[in-house]
Amino acid sequence: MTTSTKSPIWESVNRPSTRRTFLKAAGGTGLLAAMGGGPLLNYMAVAAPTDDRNATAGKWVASTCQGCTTWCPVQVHVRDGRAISVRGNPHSKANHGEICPRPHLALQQVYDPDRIKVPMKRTNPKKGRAEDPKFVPISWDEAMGLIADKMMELRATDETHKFVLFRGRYSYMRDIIYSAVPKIFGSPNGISHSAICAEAEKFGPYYTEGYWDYRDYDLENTRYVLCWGADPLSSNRQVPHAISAWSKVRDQAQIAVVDPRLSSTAAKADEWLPVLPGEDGALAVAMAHVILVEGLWSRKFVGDFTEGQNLFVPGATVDELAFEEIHTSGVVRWWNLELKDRTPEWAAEQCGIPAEQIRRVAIGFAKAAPRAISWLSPGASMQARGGYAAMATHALNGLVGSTDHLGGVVQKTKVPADTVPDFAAYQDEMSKKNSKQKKIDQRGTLAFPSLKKGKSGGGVVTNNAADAMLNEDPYEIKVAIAYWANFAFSCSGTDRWEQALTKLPFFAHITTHASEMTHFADVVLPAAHHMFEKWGFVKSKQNLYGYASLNERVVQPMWDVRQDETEIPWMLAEKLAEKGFDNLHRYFKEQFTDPETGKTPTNSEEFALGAVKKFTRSHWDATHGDYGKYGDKLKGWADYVEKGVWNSHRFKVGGVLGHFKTETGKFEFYSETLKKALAGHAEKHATTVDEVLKATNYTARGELAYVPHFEPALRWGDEKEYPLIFFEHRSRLNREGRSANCSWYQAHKNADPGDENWDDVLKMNPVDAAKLGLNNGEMVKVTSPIGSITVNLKLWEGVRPGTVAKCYGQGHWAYGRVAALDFQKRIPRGGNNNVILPPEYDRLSGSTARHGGVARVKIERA
Amino acid sequence: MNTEIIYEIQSGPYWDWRVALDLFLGGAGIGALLFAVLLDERFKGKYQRICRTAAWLAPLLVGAGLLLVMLKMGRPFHLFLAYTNFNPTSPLWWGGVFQPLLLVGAFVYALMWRGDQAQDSARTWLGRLLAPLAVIVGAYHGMLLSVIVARPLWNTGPTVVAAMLGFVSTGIAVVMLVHLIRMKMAGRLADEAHVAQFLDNMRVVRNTLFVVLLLQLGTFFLWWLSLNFGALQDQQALAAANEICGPMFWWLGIVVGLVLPIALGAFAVWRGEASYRRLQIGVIGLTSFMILLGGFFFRLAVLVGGQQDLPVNITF
Amino acid sequence: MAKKQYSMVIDLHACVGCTACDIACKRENNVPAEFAWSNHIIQTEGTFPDVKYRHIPTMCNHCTDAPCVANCPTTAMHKTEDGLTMLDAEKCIGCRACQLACPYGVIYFNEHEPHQPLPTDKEAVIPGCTATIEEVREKTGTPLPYYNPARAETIPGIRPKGVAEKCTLCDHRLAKGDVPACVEACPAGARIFGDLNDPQSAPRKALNKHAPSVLRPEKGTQPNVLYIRDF
Repeated sequence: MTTSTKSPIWESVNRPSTRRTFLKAAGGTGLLAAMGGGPLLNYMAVAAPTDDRNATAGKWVASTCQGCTTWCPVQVHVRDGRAISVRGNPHSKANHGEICPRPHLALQQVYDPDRIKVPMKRTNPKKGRAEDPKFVPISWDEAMGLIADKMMELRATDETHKFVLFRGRYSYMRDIIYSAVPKIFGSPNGISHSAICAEAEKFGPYYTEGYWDYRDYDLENTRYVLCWGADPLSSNRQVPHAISAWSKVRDQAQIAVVDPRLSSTAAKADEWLPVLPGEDGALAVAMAHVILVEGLWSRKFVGDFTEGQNLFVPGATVDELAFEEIHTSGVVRWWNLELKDRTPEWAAEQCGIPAEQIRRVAIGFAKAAPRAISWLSPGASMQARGGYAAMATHALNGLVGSTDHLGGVVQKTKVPADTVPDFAAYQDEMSKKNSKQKKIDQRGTLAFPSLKKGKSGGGVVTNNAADAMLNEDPYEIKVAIAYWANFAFSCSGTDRWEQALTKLPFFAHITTHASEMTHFADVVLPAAHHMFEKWGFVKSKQNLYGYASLNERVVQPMWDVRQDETEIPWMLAEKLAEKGFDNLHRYFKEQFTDPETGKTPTNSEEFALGAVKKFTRSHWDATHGDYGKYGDKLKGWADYVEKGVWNSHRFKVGGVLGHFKTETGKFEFYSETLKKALAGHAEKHATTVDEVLKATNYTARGELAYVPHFEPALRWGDEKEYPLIFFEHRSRLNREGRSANCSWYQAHKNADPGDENWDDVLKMNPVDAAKLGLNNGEMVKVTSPIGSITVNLKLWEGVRPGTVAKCYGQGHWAYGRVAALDFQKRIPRGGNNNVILPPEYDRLSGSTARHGGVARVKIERA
Repeated sequence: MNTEIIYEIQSGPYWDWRVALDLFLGGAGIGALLFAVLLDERFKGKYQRICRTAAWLAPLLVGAGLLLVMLKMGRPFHLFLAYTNFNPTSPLWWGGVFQPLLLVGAFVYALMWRGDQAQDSARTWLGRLLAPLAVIVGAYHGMLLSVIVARPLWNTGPTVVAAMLGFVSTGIAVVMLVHLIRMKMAGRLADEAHVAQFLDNMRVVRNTLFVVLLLQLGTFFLWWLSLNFGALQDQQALAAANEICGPMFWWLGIVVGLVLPIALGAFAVWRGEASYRRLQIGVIGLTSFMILLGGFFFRLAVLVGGQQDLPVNITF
Repeated sequence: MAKKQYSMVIDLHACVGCTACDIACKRENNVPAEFAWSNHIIQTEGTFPDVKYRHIPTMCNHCTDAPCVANCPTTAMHKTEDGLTMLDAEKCIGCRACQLACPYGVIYFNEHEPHQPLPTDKEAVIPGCTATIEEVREKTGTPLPYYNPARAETIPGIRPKGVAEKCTLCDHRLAKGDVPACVEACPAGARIFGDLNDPQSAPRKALNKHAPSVLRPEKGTQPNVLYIRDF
């Protein structure tokens, strides 16, 4: 049942076979028996206690899990100086002491023998996947010296902008390394991962209600949950809160899940709408159509026809003056431009959901409203042209008045925090000049509007950086540092990243584990683990509470690691100062005095801790202006460390009504905000909005571009050659693609519906398998127009015929001995979806279109 | 309607060929012991030679079985704990307590057959003591599988009966086969008169064996009926076992182990006259060998087949 | 009758199938990755798009009439006063009769040394720069870096080769008044734990509200893990 030939790390030999009745008989294990070692009866603890964190009896210490983007406050049980257990932080009002499976897996990350334990240096100058980097251990001093030398070369030639800092996951200490370091050094290039994450999702609420962020959901009071690709019981977002609330939600609300795969949330729902990937927009506009035709919109939120009679008749244009709107703007124009012909029958053809189910769900949702949630997620938005699907699905909340309402969808509470102090005084002429250069990702160019918060080039186009580097457009990148990032694995079209990194003259990678990106590095710096070894903090929300949660150094690191966002910039600053550029070091010393002790930092650890205290002062320091204003009043730093979390006041619904930060101040169905943004971008490039739409690959022209509308799914590959639509999904055990080296991850992988333990299966409906003559469990080659992977086939009824699905997170060839089938030979366990997913975009938001069935594939017996 | 059920547990079989061999050897040993004791008791030294063969086979076979089953255990030397921890619901407890005792007793009993005396009252009395012990150990072998409610293939009445009958048939067969070898080695097979006497003496044994084999076949048939027409789980268990162990069971266990010996036995009864004596000796040898072969594979098939994973019937 | 009858009522309506229980159990009890004291059955039923998916957590049922106890030759497997089915590793002879007798597949047997890496795992993946398992063991002074010493308070912290092991309902935690690790880890509140003999206990109250089901009721084992509602 498994393809594994290697054993997991902490156990191994007598792995159970599958008991799989009705499908196949149990097989033997076929694995080698292990040798050596004695029985460990009544093993006694060893280490002696040093301080209370190491007390033999053990102690719960607060920290933060960043295994997904929920960012839960947790507590770690420390005994004998070891982390042995994890639970939710009971002081947190957001996850109220609950955690999902992910934090437990983190124990296997921090103690993973495959972590990098010392800085290392490449000794094979040739780069490429086929090359062995021949890493050798070096000192921190040598490592920082190597990086500083390369950076100083850029200063010598006035090319400081050819330095780039890639950021993957982060804590809110990020601006030290991401903003201050490049800008004081003289580069505009802080390139974040945001556009491979969920920027297209934020596009929806921003261009309807002026809110560029994730929403919160009042699950406790809701009566209808309509999930758009959202799988809150597994991922994205507020997973523990959703899990703990779900029993009650099921008791008092209807749940409908739009997802081509029977997700874990779909398995616990009343309705499953297995939409054709990428056609969520069609479904959403049809639901809007039904809500209007049936007269089920919110009279209180949207308004009504002045004559009272519902003029929304299918196919008929309505006079805008006949309708008086309250908190919204442009409902009739939306109807006239888009909705009037978007009948459920039309949508059924387009998206594969029967008209009667569309009608039933739309009516159910609207009738439950305003205590209803249209829950938008990356699944329904991180698609080619997905920005409009994001708008359409979020607009449903506007239509039924569930936005900013009890039991509905709300914005967030303020979580005050400080960030890096102004550094203009530390920028010299070169850095001032060069940090104003264009950024490497081509954001804001005609084809990449990336309209974050209405600004042309306002957002990052992460995945395009690879092409830009390869094409040296706008210029060549000579030195790069990446931290907590693995773009050669996590960005679609991985081969471009491999090429770009091969071409890159000098690359330093800050990471806990060797990874696909590390393979191309010249210098590798071992990073502290965010949950156990690092000081930092994050801001997030769940359950209508905003919060700040501390990352704490819960245990002393086992290896010679440093904190990525604080210690390493400090050490780099020291080294640059040694080589003659001391601006960064002066900035750190002069601007980062510890607010508790008043001391100037003298080493990296003091700097790291002091910076966290400084940024979070409003949470614990009564002398800060924001102290207690928005939430908890923690009694000093020690109290904060003890509790680990600062909670905001509970979100009060209704406060945003009338104050939407849109152009009109209303909830916009006709987005004046987007109109302005598009016009701004067109003007910048001296062209028309239609030309912009053409250049960015959208089908809409004219006014249609300003309303949430249907855009047909964009797919790579000809249907004849590539008959099936491939789509991917997330795992409830993924720690953002970093947990595949944990044996617990592999041993429990079938927690994801349809998946198999110790495997990375391609899920296919038996109907398609019969057509292709393929059988359950056989190896298949999955080929898209850009690449192929070879994985085991799993026949499963929970996936839509005509589509095939595979989970993201496996297919690592360089992440360790469990994640890879053979680390030395670079053979992955399973296959990385990003090898076959093309580098396609939702260009208006700059997002990578990793969802929406962007790749067609053919499947052959391997 | 498709239903896929996945339940990953530790893979079996938990008990392998070593346990099957213990069941087989131990059973045959018990049969051999009873053979010796009964013949000695009933015919008072008339069958001294063959009793000696049987008496010696008993401890060797029981001992080999015990050794094998101990090899299978995680911590075999803790078996003595059975003497200090009382658990009569467990057949293995009975086995743990009584099989070593039987082994020792049978060994002493065999030693007592060393001399030439046709009658030995001490030996006879020891035999009388050992007989019930042998029955207990035999019952343990029979009950071992049948009390396991979780395994429908085993959890039947006929399983016990079949096992008990199996002791008799394999016990007789092993004694006959070994004895024939001894006769051949001693050159007694060349002696016409001796062979005639032997065949005549063995008529009662042959008839017993014939009846036991028929009963075994009948018991097996009942067992098959109860499973095949039993509850869904019984049917599933039979199907699962059949899938993996069917050929072994049908061809080796039933055809070779029962049907052919019965046929050959019938032939021997039919053609009992003097001119067929040499052939009769051959038939006895061949039949014994087939019974033993069938007896082992029958047990192996049932043991392994009974451990096949069964559908998890989810009733809610 | 036992003084107490500890019991787990699993509310399948609340369970979301996340396996936090399974993983927390492994950690709490130092269970080898290939064993699952806390486990689950997965059922996918029907044809697209009418598909019903179920995730049914399983564990030792701590049966009142436990076949593993009845079949143990040395009373190593026994019932306690609190209604737990416990294995005394010192008495276990490794005969696997309990495993055969259990209708639920929840008993595991250590055929090999537990938590042993393969010989090929003894090299660092990047020599000199990453660690080996032995190195981590030396650094932490434990066989598992996250080894839980509390487990050794009632049974061997790691069960040696040659003996069986299974769920103990975290008896070492119960002794301190804590709930089992799987109960603490369950974010859905689907695991309702307590003493069935106490009419005020949480499981008793849950059973008063919902009729329970058990796995393989026809075996007559009287499981003390009961299921209410449907997934």
